[in-house]
Amino acid sequence: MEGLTEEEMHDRKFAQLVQRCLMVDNLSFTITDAILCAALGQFGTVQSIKLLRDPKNPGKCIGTAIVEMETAQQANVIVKQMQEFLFMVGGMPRPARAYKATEAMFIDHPLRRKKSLELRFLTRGEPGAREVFQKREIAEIHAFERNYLQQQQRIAEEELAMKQFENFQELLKKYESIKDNKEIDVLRQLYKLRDRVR
Amino acid sequence: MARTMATLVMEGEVPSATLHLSFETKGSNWTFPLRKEGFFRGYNCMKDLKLAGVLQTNVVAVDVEQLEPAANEDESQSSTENAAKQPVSLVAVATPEEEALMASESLRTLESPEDSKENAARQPVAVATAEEKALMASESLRTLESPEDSEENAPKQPVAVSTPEEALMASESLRTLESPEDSTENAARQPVAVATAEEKALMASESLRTLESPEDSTENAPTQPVAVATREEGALMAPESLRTLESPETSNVLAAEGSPERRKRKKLAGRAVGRIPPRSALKLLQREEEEMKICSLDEYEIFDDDEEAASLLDLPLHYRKHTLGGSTTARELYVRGKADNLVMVMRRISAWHLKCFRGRPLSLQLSFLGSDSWVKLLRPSSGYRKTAAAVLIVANFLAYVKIEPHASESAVWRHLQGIKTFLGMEKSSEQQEADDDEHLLSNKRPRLLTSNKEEASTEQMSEDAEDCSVEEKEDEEEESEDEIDQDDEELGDPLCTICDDGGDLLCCDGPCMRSFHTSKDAGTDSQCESLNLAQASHLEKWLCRNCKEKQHQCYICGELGASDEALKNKRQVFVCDVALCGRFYHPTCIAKELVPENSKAFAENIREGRDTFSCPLHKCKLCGKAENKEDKDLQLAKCRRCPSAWHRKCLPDYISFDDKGKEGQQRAWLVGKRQRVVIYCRKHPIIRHLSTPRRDHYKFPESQIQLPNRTQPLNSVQRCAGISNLLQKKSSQKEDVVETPEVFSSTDWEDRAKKRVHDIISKSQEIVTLESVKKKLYLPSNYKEPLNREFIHQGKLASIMSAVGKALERVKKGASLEDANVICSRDDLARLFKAETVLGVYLAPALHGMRYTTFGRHFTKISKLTKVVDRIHPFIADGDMIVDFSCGSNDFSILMHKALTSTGKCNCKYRNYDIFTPKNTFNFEKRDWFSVSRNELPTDETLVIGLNPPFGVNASLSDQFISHALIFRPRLVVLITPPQTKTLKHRGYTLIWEDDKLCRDRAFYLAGSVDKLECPVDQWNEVTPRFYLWCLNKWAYKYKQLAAVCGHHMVLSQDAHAGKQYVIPPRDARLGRQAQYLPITVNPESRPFRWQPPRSRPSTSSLAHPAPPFHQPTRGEGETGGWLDS
Repeated sequence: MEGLTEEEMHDRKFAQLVQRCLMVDNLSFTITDAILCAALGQFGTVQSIKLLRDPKNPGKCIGTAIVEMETAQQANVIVKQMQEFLFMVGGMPRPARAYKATEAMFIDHPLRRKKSLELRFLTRGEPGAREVFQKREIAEIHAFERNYLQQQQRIAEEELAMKQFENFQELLKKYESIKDNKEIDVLRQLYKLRDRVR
Repeated sequence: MARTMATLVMEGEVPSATLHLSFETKGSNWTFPLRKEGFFRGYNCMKDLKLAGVLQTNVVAVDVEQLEPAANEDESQSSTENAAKQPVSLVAVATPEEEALMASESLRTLESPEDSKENAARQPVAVATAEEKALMASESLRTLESPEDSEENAPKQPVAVSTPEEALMASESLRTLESPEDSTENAARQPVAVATAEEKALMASESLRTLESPEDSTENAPTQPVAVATREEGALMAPESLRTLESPETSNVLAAEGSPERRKRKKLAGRAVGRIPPRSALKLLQREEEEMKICSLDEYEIFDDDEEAASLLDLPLHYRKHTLGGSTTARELYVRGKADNLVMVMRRISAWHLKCFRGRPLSLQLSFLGSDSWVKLLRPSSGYRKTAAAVLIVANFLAYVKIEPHASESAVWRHLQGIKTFLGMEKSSEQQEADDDEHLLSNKRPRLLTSNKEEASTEQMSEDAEDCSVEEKEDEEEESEDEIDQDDEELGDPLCTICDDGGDLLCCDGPCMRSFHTSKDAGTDSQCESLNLAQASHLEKWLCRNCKEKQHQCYICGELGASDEALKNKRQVFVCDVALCGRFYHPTCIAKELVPENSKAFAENIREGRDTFSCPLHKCKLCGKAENKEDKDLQLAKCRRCPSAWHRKCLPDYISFDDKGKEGQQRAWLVGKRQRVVIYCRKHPIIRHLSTPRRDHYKFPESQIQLPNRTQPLNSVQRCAGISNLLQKKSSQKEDVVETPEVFSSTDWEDRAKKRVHDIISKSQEIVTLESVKKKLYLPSNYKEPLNREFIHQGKLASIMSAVGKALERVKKGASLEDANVICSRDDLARLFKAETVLGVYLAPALHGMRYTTFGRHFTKISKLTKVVDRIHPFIADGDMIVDFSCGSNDFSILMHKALTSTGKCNCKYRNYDIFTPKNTFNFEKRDWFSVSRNELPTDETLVIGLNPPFGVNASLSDQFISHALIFRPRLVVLITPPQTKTLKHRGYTLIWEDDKLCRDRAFYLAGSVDKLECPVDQWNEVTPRFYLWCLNKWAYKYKQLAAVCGHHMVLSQDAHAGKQYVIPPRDARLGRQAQYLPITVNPESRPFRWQPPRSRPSTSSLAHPAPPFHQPTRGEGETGGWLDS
């Protein structure tokens, strides 16, 4: 395709790449590359995985990953399937979510080329500064809201986790108390009851 | 009530055999030959019917007879020959060769059921029937009457091709048959088959009049004119007759069956009114009865000379022209019911038969003595329903199974349920739903309608009515999957401690086993003080004040005392040993009760913990024996205020169920589903307006613990799913913010921001709920949501567990098993086991860890799949369709394709179904296997279905998959399933190969899962699944030969020689050419394996074909050599 410049070809490739990718969210922090690859490998060929990490302490995953599949169709299939079913990854009962990838997710991808940014300082008095400062304030509010929301969410999640854990422990206790109890077996034999179903 | 006895036995596997169904009643014996195919699904139902106690009759299949093979198999015979042959043979040969139920239609179907040609032959017939059903009916009548007139057999022979003319002939013959009986009435009855409504009414009124003539001499005069009468007169007669007949009738019908007084009354009444004519009068009746024409009887009941309800099974059953059974008993049975124009008639029955057309409901028909026409029976009268049920249900069952031989068990049950409702023996569906709702809502709180108490007095009388209503059998679709039936017996007190009434109750989770009304609203009916809990807590665990503070009242004296176990011998009250009793006693109080002569020592023992006791509530005060829960009379009635109990039969006089007793006070009530008795003994004077004794018996201790303020935990499941919503919402907030003033104070805007966030959160909580998420999820059709998961409460569990220990101690000390049973009964143990199973299932993912990752799917390893392919491909012919109903990763199909193309069978088709899309979508359809209907797959025996279904609990899921697969009647069924799957033997298949060694080692891997070392996870099986190869019976012989030739050693090629020719099997007539068998080398180490082309072969196109392009598994993390190794 000679008509296209190198740039356009590049962009086209990038667009293609984005089509083939999907973002997986709500994973456990302990998930690794291999686990995710195996999990999604059921549905298609995984070309590459990027686990997003916490910028403050790299090494800790935030439970999100961007996965590149071999074809766009495979990616679509996975996204759709994860909406229909609650997909567990790595044995954790956390349903993973999948979204189709967008360009914005690939901020630091080598294929993504942006025109260079021009930066300069701005003071309040300058003409045209007012709108900019307004926008900055709005951005601050949004950032605050976002943080607060995430905070609330975490609190709620922890509470739920606590509750579920307690519940689980209780049930487990009950179960184990019945299951391995020798006395019950003795009594059962005395009464000549049928074998209990395991 | 007539009892019939027999059991179902399946015998014989010879293809195209018929099954005989025989009913045995008191010496009479008839057989119903049935098509074998049509029977299998339902055959299990029959046994279950017997078990369910619905049916008092069981069904016996005596033996299996083989029809002439020519009739069913060979295409060489023409259908016309068949058509000509069959009726003749059927007519000539004795009874066992005939078919049941579908009199005229079955004749046609008998000819060549499996051939498509016969479908064509049937077409004109079907068309004919559509047009002239009435004529068909008369035709069958005709066939039935043939024993009387054998000369008419000849013209009747070619029944299959019936023309309008024949039908006319039929009606004519009918008329001719009847002519000898009553020539005078022929004129009136000429167009019998097309009798109009008016004439029917005429007949009916005529019959009515003649019926009445012997019965009611006073009314004879106005009814004498038997000749032409108008409809109006008929109508006039009707109410009169109804009056006379119904007055004794109605009371009888409504009354309960089986009580001897009523029967006597009926009889006397009957004789008085002259309803049951003496024998002499019967003869008279008969002559006159001929004139009446009844077409149908509604609300009928059948009885014998003694006015006892009788079952139809004692009567001779007519099939086409043979009479079966009944003759030996020589019982005279009469039927009484409302004839067409709602006039009551009574007749003596001479025979009955069943009629069943496709698309129409089954009808039972009777013929009366003296007349030869058949009268249809509509609904049984309410008193007769129970007896009729047996016959109707069996008849309907057979009819249904005939029409839909491949119906699933659940469908058959559903159909039978419909019959039960039809019979009125069931609560209607709405009522059942209402009951279900009630049960669900009650959940942790046992629900009791207060009206129960007042109705206790009437309940005893209507026990008979109870017997009539049959308990609904749950739909067997779940088939003991992960579901356990709900325990309907309430664990815990069904009555409130405060007011002794039922309703909405909150159960305490502690050792006291009590329940309470939470608020005044819940206890309005009984003016309950209730606990006045502001918030009816839905928490998992709630303890009453006593259990919280560990201070309980002594059940004898009512004083509070410390009950904490940790206090050891500083305890003041001690709990009774018996499981689920929950009552506390002072040692001195209980010692005085139990051991009055040695009370001090006993009390000392209890206090020191050396001894334990079971309180007097568990023994009858009168006779001292324990409770027997099975026997109604030996159930213990317990007092609600003190530890006194009596057997039902030992209850003293002053305790009565109603206000009419000596004391004039109701002191006993029936409670709950199991109808336990609850009493107040004499020591407690009853306050009239409360109808309970004083309500000061409960004492709560002072609370020393502050109850924390529990807020509703926010449900964060909703939150997580709602993030995308939030993101969208946020962007819409942008616009709002711009409009607000520019300068914000720092705290102001923060607060506002927080508020906004909270608004978003609450809104999302409303929108995204568990239900809305569930709606979006896709569930496979055979998955069932667990209804109502009830886990046993901690308090009750602890009580039962300690009771187990105590019971064992007692036994060690020498007590008998009955004593131990009082403390911890078999029922309690059963409850424990059930709780264990329920918990086990629920906790399975946590307990078994890695097994349940992603979707927990187990796929067969490719090495095993290659072995399977090796074994099967000789059995596959070119042009077959190979279906994999749960393809998983779709490897099997690809391997088959490779193998078959390399052996020259290039025209095979493939279909793979699964609910998850695999990586390789070779002929893949993302579908639920159960949604695939019969006409989507070829039906001409080119179908091969396999392979590895999901197993399920006790192979239940694999059974479902296989059942669905059998709908298509595949030629071959290849399976890897657990050994507990139901055999296909009885469904027309023969087992060619069964191998339990194939999947012996780690045959399955978990798709998409890796373990700690990042290797793919594979599994051993506790019970090795088996490899099965089934084929249709007709192919069994050929395939068994084939298997023998290819040898079970086919795969064990230790040498990797290629091109080794095996013996070529004999000519396969079906395939029409020689089948080539080639060895396939299986080298476990190699990957991917290659299909070696044969050395010496005529040039075939397969060599020229390149291997079909299919997606090679590329490198991926989970696809290391792990799962390819054998």
